Amino acid sequence: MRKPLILLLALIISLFLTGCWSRVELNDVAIVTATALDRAENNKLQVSLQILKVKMTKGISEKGGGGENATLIVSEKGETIMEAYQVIQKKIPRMVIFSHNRVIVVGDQLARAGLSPVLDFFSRHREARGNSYLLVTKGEGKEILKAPPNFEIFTAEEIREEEKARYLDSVTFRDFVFRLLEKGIEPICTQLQIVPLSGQKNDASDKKETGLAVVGAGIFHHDKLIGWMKRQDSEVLLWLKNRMKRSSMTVSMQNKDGSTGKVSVQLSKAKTSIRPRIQGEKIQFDITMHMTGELFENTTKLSIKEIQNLNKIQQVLEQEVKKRVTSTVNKLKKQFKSDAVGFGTILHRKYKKEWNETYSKRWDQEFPKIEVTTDVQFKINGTGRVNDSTLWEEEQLEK
Amino acid sequence: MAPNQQPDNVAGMLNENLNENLKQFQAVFKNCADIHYRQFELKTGQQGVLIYLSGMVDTDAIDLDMTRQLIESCMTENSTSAEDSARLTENLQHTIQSKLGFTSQVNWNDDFYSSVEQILSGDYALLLDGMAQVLTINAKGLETRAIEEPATEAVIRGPRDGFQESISTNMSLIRRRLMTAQLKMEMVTIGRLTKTEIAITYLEGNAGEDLIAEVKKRIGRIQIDAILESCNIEELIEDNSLSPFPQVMVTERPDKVVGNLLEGRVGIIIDNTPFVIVVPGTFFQMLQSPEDYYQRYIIASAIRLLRLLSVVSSLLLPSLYIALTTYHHEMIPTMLLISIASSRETVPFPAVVEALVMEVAFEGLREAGVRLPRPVGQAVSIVGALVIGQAAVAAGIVSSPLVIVISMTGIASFLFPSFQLGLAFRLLRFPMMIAAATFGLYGILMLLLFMLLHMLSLQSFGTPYMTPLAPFSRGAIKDVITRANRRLMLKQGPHPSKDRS
Repeated sequence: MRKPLILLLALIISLFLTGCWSRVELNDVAIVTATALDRAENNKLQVSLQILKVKMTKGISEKGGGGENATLIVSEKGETIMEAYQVIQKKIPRMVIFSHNRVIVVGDQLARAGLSPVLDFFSRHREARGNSYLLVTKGEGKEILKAPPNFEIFTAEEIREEEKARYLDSVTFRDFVFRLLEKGIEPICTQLQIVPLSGQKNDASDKKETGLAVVGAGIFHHDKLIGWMKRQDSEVLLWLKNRMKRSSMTVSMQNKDGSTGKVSVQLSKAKTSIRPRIQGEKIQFDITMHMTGELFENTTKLSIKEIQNLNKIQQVLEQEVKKRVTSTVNKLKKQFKSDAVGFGTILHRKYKKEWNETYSKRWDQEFPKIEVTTDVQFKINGTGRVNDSTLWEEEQLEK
Repeated sequence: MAPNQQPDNVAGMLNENLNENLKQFQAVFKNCADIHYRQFELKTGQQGVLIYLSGMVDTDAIDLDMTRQLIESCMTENSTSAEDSARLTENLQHTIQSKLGFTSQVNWNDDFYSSVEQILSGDYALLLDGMAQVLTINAKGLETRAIEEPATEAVIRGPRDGFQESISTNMSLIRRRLMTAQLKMEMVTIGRLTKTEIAITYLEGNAGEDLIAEVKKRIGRIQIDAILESCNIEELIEDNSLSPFPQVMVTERPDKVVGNLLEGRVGIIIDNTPFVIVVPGTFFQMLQSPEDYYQRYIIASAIRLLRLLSVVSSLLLPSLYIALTTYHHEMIPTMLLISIASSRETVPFPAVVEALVMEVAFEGLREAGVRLPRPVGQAVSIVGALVIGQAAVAAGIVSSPLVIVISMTGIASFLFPSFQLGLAFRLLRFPMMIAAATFGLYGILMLLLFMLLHMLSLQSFGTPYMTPLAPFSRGAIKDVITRANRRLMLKQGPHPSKDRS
């Protein structure tokens, strides 16, 4: 009777001796919502963390908007991220946790020098998430974190929402690493900038009102940033990768009397298939795109009721898409020499043997030499609430 | 009655002398204020006594039907001087059997003590001078409560009658639903002092022979002085008394008992309690309400799913809250984490302490609500809601997400159709919270595994507790997670316990 009792007692006591070692109460954590990485002098790294001041968030929800910022930006320089992070930790009374870090912003200087050294920390750290978005910015990443949020409690959430809507190709940390490791595709990053919310930059009156916007894409070669792509070209990248959610396009068309009008369509679907062909030394890619859209604006005199007019608009749109695709692919080929679309992986899938034997090793040299043909089919499947434009009289319309 | 408890002046033998017999009875029933002796004289001049317990017998029956008829009819044809007691008895016997329209049960007792027991059970005894026997006539007329709706198991749609304290009424409530000779009710008397009547009821052909034999065996084994409630029996016949889980089903509803009898289970009706035991009890059976079968099956299925969800949440919700907020911050969506964190900001206690205090307060409130008279109970709930719900949060002692968690747990625990099973889960919540506080999700999982192992190893009267999930029965499973359509259930055979034997 005595023995089992002592055993049981020992068991119960041991229960209280172990455990709890990783226990951290919510009151003792500092939640990192965004991280910015920049290059500092002497080849050092500057790590900036956007940390949530939890007590401020309650104030906002209860009192209806406090003037103070709910986040704290802490930055520190170090040889590695870990080093800087440890110094930051010493500045803060609470334990820094990375598990809710949703955005990693990289300044262009660091991006141009190469991301590999920083990627290691985020892929190794147990708390860091693969689905945090990776973004680049012209200038310092730290400045982005400082921008005041307009809608959410903190900017990281705003950035994430914007990325999620996928106006331009969004890249998570995991995507970036995968593309980096895969041969035949180069990673890209969304470019994030602070922009004035209204009008021109030099408009003095609206200086304070700024927002964060995705303005384009940073094109990488391996892990180094080599250049920027504007919004329009970045959208083409989305089309080619079949990742478009929503986009719009405007073309101008000549009326019979010589005046010009504009047609705007909202693109609802862009389905792209790319077929590679190897003909001797030449590698050719045939791009076939099926796009559908809805007519949103029409200032031409064309009567939409007539099927041939619709066909005409569709043809113009097809030409425009074709033009854009060709121009973007040419930029990638000639200007950047970086296969951001992943033509290499497409070739790999079709011509496995050839790829493994020859192209995989020298795809960097081969890529600028590829030839691309584009075939576009555009279909307008809606014209909105009205048929003919209300701008013109019945007689003026071109039937 | 044990011999050593007998008064000294009681011989325990009946003789032909009425006064001597009467003295014996008076000695046995000494200081029993509720025993009544009524003396009378027959036309022949023969003395007689009626002995009965007031309140236990129907006095109208004595006055109107039996005694009068008996005294009048039996003595008119008898000669004026009937000294021969044997002839008298014979005469009386003859009269009773042939002439009187008695519906009651009549016994001739040669033994003194058996007649004492008959009187105590509510019969009345007739003693006549010159007769060495006691005639006991069953005229039980106990005061009982009307048949009311069961307080613990109300339904929206379905029969409203519930068991009450009288065993004969309870038996009739079952019988009127199963008018078949297959329905058997075997009476046993248990309890040296209480002499409680117990009826073992089953449907012959539906219930397995092994099961019936096992129930009889276990009940026969009981050696006890008093049975006051079904729980006394339950504890003595259940398989594992160390388990927190109830292994027999207890119900106040006749329709529920009948439904279980049809499935091949055995019911144990106990006198003086409205709760009837049904064995074997299985986990999923206790998660079912008879109303599931009275509502449309699609809706009933949805309700069953809701109930399963509530089982999980009543057990795990507070412990998950503790584990997630103290160990696994990354598992909470960011915005939710922020709102939890911001309301926890002023709370001075760790999440475990906070949750434990709230749980104990809630359980206390609940217990107070059950025991207190209804008007006071309301006051308690107001105090509880105001003090705990409002003031504690406003003062920053308790965070509001935790209050939500605790109230959701409370709601979930009210969804159990079986109060006994709900109690088990209420209790298990506390070790679960401690496991969550010490080991996080790992601790919860370990404890869940232990619990599952225990539940799977439990048996009730030879039926595994988790039937039909484990051992898996494809035919029965459709009526466990969801409620199967009647058309589908027509094909279903008797209870799985029978198949296995």
